[in-house]
Formats: sequence, structure tokens, C-alpha cells
Amino acid sequence: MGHDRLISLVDDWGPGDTFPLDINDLQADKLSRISFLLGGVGDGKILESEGVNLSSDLIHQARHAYSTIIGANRARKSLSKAQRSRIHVHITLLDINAGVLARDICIMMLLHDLAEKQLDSVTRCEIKATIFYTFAGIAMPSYCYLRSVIPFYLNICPMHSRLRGAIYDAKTRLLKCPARLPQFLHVNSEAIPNIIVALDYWAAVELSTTQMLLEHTPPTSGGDRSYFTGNDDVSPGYIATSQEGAAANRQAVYDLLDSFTDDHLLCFGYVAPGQTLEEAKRQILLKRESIVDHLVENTAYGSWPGRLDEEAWYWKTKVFLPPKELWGRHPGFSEFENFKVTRRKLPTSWESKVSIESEHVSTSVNINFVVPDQEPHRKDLEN
Amino acid sequence: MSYSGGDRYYLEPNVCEIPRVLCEFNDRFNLGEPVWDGIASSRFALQYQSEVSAYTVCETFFDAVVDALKAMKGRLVLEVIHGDLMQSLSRIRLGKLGNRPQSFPAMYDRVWLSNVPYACPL
Repeated sequence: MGHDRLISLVDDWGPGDTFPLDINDLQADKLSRISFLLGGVGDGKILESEGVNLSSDLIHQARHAYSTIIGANRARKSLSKAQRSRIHVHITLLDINAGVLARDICIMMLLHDLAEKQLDSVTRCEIKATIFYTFAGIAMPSYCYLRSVIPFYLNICPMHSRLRGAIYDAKTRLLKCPARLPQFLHVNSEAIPNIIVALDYWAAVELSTTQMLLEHTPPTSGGDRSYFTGNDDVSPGYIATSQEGAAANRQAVYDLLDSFTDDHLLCFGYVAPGQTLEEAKRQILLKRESIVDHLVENTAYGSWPGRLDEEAWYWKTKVFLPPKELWGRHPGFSEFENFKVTRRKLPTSWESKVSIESEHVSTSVNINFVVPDQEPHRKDLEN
Repeated sequence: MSYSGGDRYYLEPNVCEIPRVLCEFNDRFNLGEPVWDGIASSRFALQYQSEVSAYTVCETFFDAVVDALKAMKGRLVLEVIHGDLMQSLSRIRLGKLGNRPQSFPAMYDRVWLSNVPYACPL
């Protein structure tokens, strides 16, 4: 499902599906009006009510705009100086859900601040963290929350004057005629009333962070991507093709695992550091299937180094780690180092032996959440 | 106060997908410092030695966006339209969509439509 991955419309339809726009060969008039449309996601609420998992695409459609911007800039660098002075790229974001658009406008404002303003390093870091927590995860530290205008990141802090100010600011900018927005951003006048409704809603809504985080449970492994396989409405041909592809991927991973040299094995992520070669081999043999499961998933969807630790941490605490520079504000996150060590030392049973002081973490990130007693996401890796 | 958009709409089924997708893109576009000291290929280099947080991945990605916004100042427009796709496209073609400037495109070089059929019964 290529649409889970990021697309740069200048370059591709996702990884493995390159389709570069030869901007070097474009005539001057074409170069000055390159245009892309990202659009039409349908109504997420209706899909949800039908009991269908929302794909990430429905939620983060605009992320393709960001990747396309990166692609456009990379392409621009390949142009001659004369061509560079002509290039102009127009990206239209069209969505039926005003809330999505309002959120994206907020992110774009923050990006604009980063691009245009002289900011001290702490402020920059806070803004970047705000973008990060807006983009990934469901809870954010209160300083991010107060910086943003995005209250759906549930926070039980009382309405803060800074937050009210930020919402007021966004509204003021949109209500100006024409809207007083960053130069690169154009919001169609017909979209503005609905976007303001969304901002107003978020400003007023009070939801329980505790409740939200309790409900925020890990998806069953692979379940969010296999929902169509048991669905009678999906064509059997499509299911067969996707299963064949999955089988081929899996075989490729077995082959790769078998091709590892001893050196590879010793620094392989599924082997705890400091183990002897014999121990490493034994461990990999024991956990072979679950390792392959994990790697197959990573092949298809990418991964980040350090994910094994952080994903386990995430499902314990329901929050991603903040930037290192801001750890001083979150004493609870120093637990992460211990968590990592314990997790690695006890690769077969860390689940029951690691305990994160939930209250400690919760006070430090200023969101009142609890860590529910739940099955860990990566159960397969523990056994 | 009611708002049809709801609040649950924004929840990612698996939040860890986001940094993974971003990391794949960073890797593909050579953004930031190479974070992999890979075995065979980056995708398999899940090494304990590599300490890259989800935040760092996201930072690398958005730093590149910010660089692009700076470098392409005056050469990039992001236009936001709220509405139904087919209706909006017709109105774009007819030139009757709010305050949309005449200079904005009515035809596009490339269009990406979200893959709704995956989420709906086919």
C-alpha cells in the first residue's frame, strides 16, 4: 500500500515508484507554473462509523505537501541559474474536513516562524517539538500545547492566556480581508469560516487526557493493514496479489538473515550488546520467526534506528521522547535510559520487570496521564 | 458547541507509523546526517548503537521543509481549499471559487488523490 509512504510529486508516487518530472527540460513558461493538487480524502467520520480503520493517509494527507516541497527544492538545485529564477511551484491542498486543514495551517504557521523569524535556540526547539507532537502521537507537553493552537492534543491545563492569544492570533489573521497569512500560504476565502469553526471548537473543547490515553492502545500487530484480507468486499484477485507480494518480501528477509556474517550478527539490533557469538546465534534462532515478522514490517514501512526502544517506551507511557535539549524539563524521561538498559538485559521478559513510574512521568510532561496495565505492542519479541 | 469534524478523527491507528514513514523519506532523499550504520541495507540496521529518536527523524524532515521554504521564497504557493473534490474542481475550472486568484492553476501537472477505496469496501 504505497499510499502509506511519502510522495514527492516532483519525483515519484512513493518509494520504488519513481516518476521524475524532468524540470530541466521544461520550457520557461511551464517552469514558472508547475502545479500539483493533493486532494479528496472523503469524510473520515463516515468511514469510521462503518467500522473501517482510518488509514494514515486520511489523517496526514498534507504530509505529501511537505515531501513535495522538499522534492521541489531538490529539483530546483539541479537547475541552471537562469532557470532557478523562473521556477514557481503551486501546490493545492483540497480537503472536505476543515479540521484537517486548520491543523495543517497551524503547522504551516509554525514552519513559517522557523523559516522567517530570528529565534533563540530554545524557542526553535520548542516550535520543532510542537510540530513533532502535532504530527505524531496524541499527547504533547504543555509548553508545546500553549505554543500551538491545537487543543485536540488534549491537555487539561486551564485555558492559558498564551493559548487564547494564539487562537485569537490565528483567527485574526484569517479574518483579515485578505487574510494576513505568510506569503507562501493562500487560504481560499470560502474555507475560512469552517476553519475558524474548527479552531473555536478546539479552543472550547475539554476532553480528559487520562481517558484519551487509556483508550489509546496499540494496534494488534499488523491488524491495521490486514483489515481488507478478511473483507468479502475486496476482490479476491487483489488479495491474492498482495499475499504473493507479502510472501516474496518475507522470503527476501529470510535470505538476508541467512546471509549475515558473524560480525553482522553481533551488532544486529535483535541481539543484546556484549553477547558472545554463540549466544547471539542461539537467540536469533529462538526468535527467528518474530524477528522476521518485525523485519518484514520494517521493510514495508520503514523504520528509525532506536525504534525498538522507543516504540516499547511509547506503548508504556503513550508519549514520544521530547528533544534532548528539553529533557531538563521532564525529569521523568531520565527513566528512559533505565528502561532501555532493562529492556535489553531482559530481552525475554522485560515486560513484567520494567516499571515506569507513571506519576513521575506524568508530572514531568505536565499531562495527567496514566499508564494502563496492557499488553505490550511487541509481544512477539518477548517470547 | 458542536463540530462535525470531531476530535477522534485525528488519531493515527498506529502512531509509530509516522516516524517510520518520515525516516523512510529522509533516507530516500538523503536528508540530514546518515542515521544508519547499516547491515545490508538501512532498513535492517536496527542497531542498539544507533540512537536516533522519533523526534530527530521528524526534525530532520521539517528542517528540510523549512530550508525549502527559505530557498523558494516567492517561488512557492500552498493553497488551501475546503470542500468536496469534484465540486471544487468544477468551480476551479469555472473560476468561481471564493477569492481564488485568476493566476492560480485550473489545470494541474500532477494530481494525487487520496486512496479512498482502500478505506471503503471495494
